[in-house]
Amino acid sequence: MSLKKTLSKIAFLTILLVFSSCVKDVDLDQAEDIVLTPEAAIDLVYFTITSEDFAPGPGVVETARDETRLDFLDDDYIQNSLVQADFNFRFTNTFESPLTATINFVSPGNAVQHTIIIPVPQGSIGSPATVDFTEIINENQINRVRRSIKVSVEITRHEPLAIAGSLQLESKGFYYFEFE
Amino acid sequence: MMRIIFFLLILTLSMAATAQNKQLLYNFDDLPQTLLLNPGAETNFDMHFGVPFFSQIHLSAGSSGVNMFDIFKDDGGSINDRIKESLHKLSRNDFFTLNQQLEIFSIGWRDNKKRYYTAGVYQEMDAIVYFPKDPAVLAFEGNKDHIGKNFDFSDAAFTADVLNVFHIGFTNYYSKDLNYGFRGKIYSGVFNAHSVDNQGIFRTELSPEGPNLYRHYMSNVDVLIKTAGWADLQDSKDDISNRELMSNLVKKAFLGGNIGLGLDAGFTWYPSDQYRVTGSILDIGFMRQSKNVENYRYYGDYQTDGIELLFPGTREYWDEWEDDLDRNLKDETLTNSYTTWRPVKLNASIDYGFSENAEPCNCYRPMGRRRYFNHLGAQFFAIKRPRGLNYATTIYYDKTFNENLRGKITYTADSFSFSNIGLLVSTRLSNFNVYLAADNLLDYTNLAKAQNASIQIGFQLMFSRE
Repeated sequence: MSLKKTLSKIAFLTILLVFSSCVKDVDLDQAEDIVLTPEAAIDLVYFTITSEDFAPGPGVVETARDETRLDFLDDDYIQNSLVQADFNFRFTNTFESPLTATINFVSPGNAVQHTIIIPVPQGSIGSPATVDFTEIINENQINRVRRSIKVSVEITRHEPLAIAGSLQLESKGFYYFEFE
Repeated sequence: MMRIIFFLLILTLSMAATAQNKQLLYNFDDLPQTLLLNPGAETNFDMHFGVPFFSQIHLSAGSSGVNMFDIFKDDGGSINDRIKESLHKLSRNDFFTLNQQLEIFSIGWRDNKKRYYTAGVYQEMDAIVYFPKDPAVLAFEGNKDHIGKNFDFSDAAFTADVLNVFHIGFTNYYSKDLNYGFRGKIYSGVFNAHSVDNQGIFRTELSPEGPNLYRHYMSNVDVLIKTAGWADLQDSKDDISNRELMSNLVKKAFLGGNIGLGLDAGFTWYPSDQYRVTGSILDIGFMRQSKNVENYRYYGDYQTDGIELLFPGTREYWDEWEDDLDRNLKDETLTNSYTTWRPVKLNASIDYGFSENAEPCNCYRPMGRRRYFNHLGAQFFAIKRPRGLNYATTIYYDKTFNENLRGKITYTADSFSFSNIGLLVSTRLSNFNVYLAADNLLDYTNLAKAQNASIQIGFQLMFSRE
């Protein structure tokens, strides 16, 4: 076999290899559609209060109030990618008084962005009343959470004389993200 | 941004072989590159001179778990569903590798005692990324549907190296039945990233006895990413021109960066004329990473139930919570030197020669025995990776058509597939040699379905004393 023929064969094989290799039946443009949709379950606030934590409110009722900053609400992943949030509040009331819980999401300028009002029925030490309440903040409302930086909780005790007992709150949030 | 990172991850992952296995070049005594795989190999020429930058171009990538088709197939379905499916199919021991080598300079010659000396420089990039199963599930799905599950940070492990290798070696003709050889190497590091032996878990569990609904744990966390040759690039990327950047990289590549030492050793033994046994161990070596080191560590223990309101408290609950977190989970950037070990490789083979080549032999070469046109053999390859050895087994048929044309066909089974067919063709035009080797040929009709692929091509001058 002449050298020329040999080299021609090599060239042919190379060309065959290069041109027969291809990427088929795939659509790389689908990369545009990749969305990460993690769902996070995270504790929120909790407390147990007794009558000593209440102060006289307007009229005959007593109120207890506290608030906390939630700086993570200002983070990029919340601002850009949070699409839904479910907040779950579980109250256990042993006061022999009905209560009203008012939960506000508040902006850095102290403007209330979203309010959740949860009536808690009267309970007793022997027979606590429990409330399991979930507030779903959907895609249309999510900016209210994005604009917030604080959460305040105000408890109104409608029977100020019912001083025995306590109110316990446990809470969590489900956060639904779409990272593109 | 997140989408781009994920796309690149998938692309790397879906392209990525026992990437450093060069089964086609091993035992191929017509090419000097066989000496890089076994410094004790017998060679069928007396001098070589590689065309600078072109004597060996090697590229290999592999994925042990998924391929590009698994993710990007055009079937009208959802790519996100396919990613989710792959996420659960892959295990923490699946990995993706990328290996590239470029011979910059290569020379060799035989002395009057039949010893063959070699010297050269090659550039190499080598990376292995284990699939970070738990962190990936956490990032893709979150913890909501995985209450009570431990997300284990030890799943994350990777190493990446870019370096130049300066080498000098010799093959000693001990007798007509035995050759052995050694090669000394100086590694000149351009870049290294190393993160293995990470530990720690993240867990969210229901907390019926606790003060809130869940309790979140970060336990025994110790995640360490070591880098060398990265910090100064990061610091200077906005301030220097491309030429200065190039000059910086070239300086590191030519012994101005981090340095290491290594050794290759190998032998060829003929128990009889027709049987040949070879073995080699490559890159027994280390690199001392002491320049431009930046190591990132995140460690500690923490658990939380959320924020307790005290009616009224300090109202600095968030700051107190963050301070507590920072006291318990710390991040540090360190600049302490570290040592990395090169991925040691092991080759072993046995083959059988038939169809005797009765042409006159060259007495400068160690061939005082019968030679054959055909060889049928089996080769074993192993490489040490952070989580143990990866193996490949090859059977091959090597045929010399004439003095100018020789070919080799291989079948390899490894971590990536059991259907890897490879082909090598090497030819000479006077003293000019060209070779081309590629494996996974069955997948060349659609590389998207390949678990791995590798290719080697090279040009060089080779001389024989007749």
